[in-house]
Amino acid sequence: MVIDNRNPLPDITDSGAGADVRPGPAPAEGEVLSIDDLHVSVHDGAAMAVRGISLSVRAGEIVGLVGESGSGKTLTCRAALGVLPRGCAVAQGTVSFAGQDVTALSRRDWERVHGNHMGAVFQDPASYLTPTITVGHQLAEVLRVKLGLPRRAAHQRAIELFQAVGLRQPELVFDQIPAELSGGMLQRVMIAIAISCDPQLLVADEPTTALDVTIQAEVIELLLQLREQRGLAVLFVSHDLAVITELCDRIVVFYAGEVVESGSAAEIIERPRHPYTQALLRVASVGDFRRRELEVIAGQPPHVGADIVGCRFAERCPIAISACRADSIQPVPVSHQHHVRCVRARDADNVGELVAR
Amino acid sequence: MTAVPAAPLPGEWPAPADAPPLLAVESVDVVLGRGSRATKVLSGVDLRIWPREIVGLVGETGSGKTTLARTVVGLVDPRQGRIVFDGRPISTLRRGARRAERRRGHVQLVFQDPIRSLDPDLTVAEIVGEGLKIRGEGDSGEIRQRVLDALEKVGLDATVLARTPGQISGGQRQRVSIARSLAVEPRLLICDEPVSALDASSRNYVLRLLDELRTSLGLPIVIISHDLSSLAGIADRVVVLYRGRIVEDGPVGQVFAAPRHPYTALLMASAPSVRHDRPLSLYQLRRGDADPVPPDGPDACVFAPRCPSATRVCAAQPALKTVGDRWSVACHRHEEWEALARDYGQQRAMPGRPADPARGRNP
Repeated sequence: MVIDNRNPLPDITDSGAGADVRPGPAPAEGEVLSIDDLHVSVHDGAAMAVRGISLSVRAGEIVGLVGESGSGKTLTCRAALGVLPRGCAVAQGTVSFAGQDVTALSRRDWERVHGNHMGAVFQDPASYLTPTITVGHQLAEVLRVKLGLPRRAAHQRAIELFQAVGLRQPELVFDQIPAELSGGMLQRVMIAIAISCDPQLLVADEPTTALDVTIQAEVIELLLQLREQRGLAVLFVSHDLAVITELCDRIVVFYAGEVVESGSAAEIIERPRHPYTQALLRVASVGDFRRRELEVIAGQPPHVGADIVGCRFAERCPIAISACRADSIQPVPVSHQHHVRCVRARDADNVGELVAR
Repeated sequence: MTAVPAAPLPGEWPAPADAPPLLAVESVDVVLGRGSRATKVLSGVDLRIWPREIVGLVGETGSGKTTLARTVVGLVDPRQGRIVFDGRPISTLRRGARRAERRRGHVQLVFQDPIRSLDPDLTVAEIVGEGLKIRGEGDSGEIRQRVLDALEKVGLDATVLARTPGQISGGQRQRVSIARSLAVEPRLLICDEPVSALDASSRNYVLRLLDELRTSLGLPIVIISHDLSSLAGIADRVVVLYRGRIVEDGPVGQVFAAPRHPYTALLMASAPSVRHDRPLSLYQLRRGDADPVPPDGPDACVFAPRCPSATRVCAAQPALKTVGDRWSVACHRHEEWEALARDYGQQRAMPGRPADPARGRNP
């Protein structure tokens, strides 16, 4: 059901959403977000948790970041949003949003970017909402502060937004406090707030991880629908490759602070070239409902910021050779827009296929 | 402290038909809250667990999975019905006897979120040994040995003994949580969402571990989970709860190959997957806005408001009916709904969703 929606670069002017896209600095080839050689240090500079990440998100594109916990995907997201936790800093590289470098933006400048141009949703919606104020009020407040809407119009618009994110009886929801809503409804409220000012980019960090599968499926559909209708670009983070596959046009695989493989979702799923991606696919929920041996990836990922010569996955890699540990490894293109950081990426015996018997 | 010798499982499932179940939950109703806030959380739940089986308990938030687990361990009292463990009714015991039963720890609960259920100030050694200490069995040397044995069963060694839960990884924390339960040598293990917070690889590791424990110790395990695909990898039987009622209960292979309840099918179709070859799509299994209004009322089938094939017969709650060997389903239309769903597919394969009303603001 998802594949039909895969459209690498929808023509946003045709879909009608073009009117909503703000005229900004002309982005290169419709790129909304472009991250180049990003390094993020943690523990006040003691360790480098993100090491040279490069990726881009174009208008109307959903890009998924996948990897184990501690692989740097959330830090990358937070750097893109300019909300790195205390002790973490961008040590090197650039984050460009709509063609403008945002790594050095002041707090006040970020205020203008957040909400207006970038929206964000996270794993636990309840912790981002004030528990004692109605959700409608919290959304209307954003509209009044960010867009300067008068009280009435903000109320009206809030109800429209609640309807747009699939909340039934939006008038009723407007007057409810977070505790009266289910997790799925709260996540819809968060999405409504995130898209309230028509941002070009939505950053979604594990937004469905805490939800039931039926609700998760609905939230995934909602994001696809918003992309379709608004040309919204989405940077989606999950540790679950199956969720990423359901939603994303392109997949970026993180391992220990580096991108090890990136490419179109179909390429990554059908022809994964990096042994780590292949391993992730073997352990993911492959839609198999039969009794089977559950596979695990042997070994542990290296410590955050560990200094390793060569491939960071070599310790756990079944096909590692001496060249893997000799020198730093650069991503190589294996096909159009499919890059792999592996010295054996082009070896014939390393053409992985989806393991599903 | 002696580990139970590993006996290979003779015929994994089903357990011999005449074997008495280790645990029997008999027509249990549970009401939480009092007065006007009273909510019926479980209604007429019947469940049997035989030795050496792994039972997957699935359902969404609020379906009563956790309440059922808490009722079985005696933390919640059933309003009706009873819990029988190894032939002894335990839900009707008096307070003193019940506490003694709980301390004995025959049924152990592994909680969902180890970071919250493990005391952050205690070391792994203290956490795993606590149950033994409470029972007052053995001196400190013996307890230490049993702690090490329990840790070994979950693939951990003495290096973690002095660490606190904050100093080990998420997967290790969940294993410590399981080791804590194993230390008191339980006869039934109930794991509440043991893997939902873990990466795919650690998730599979923990599930394999549970499978091994079942094989080596003969320990029956109930796993509460919403990850149907990985459950299918290890469970023998799956029990589907919806709004406090069991709607389907049967052998994993058969249920997942051809679910007889539309809710089971909906759960399966909702599970994210890297492939797209589902037998029935979500659109075929969800109610559409154009579907006739389902029967409503206190006696109606609990699933009717979400069921695309609900009709007038569904105004009465269906009882669990046997449809196969140890396979039962609570659906009036368990024979027809699937064909109906396939027909819907013709009409609404990819429904045009209503246009976004919010877009109309810039006329």
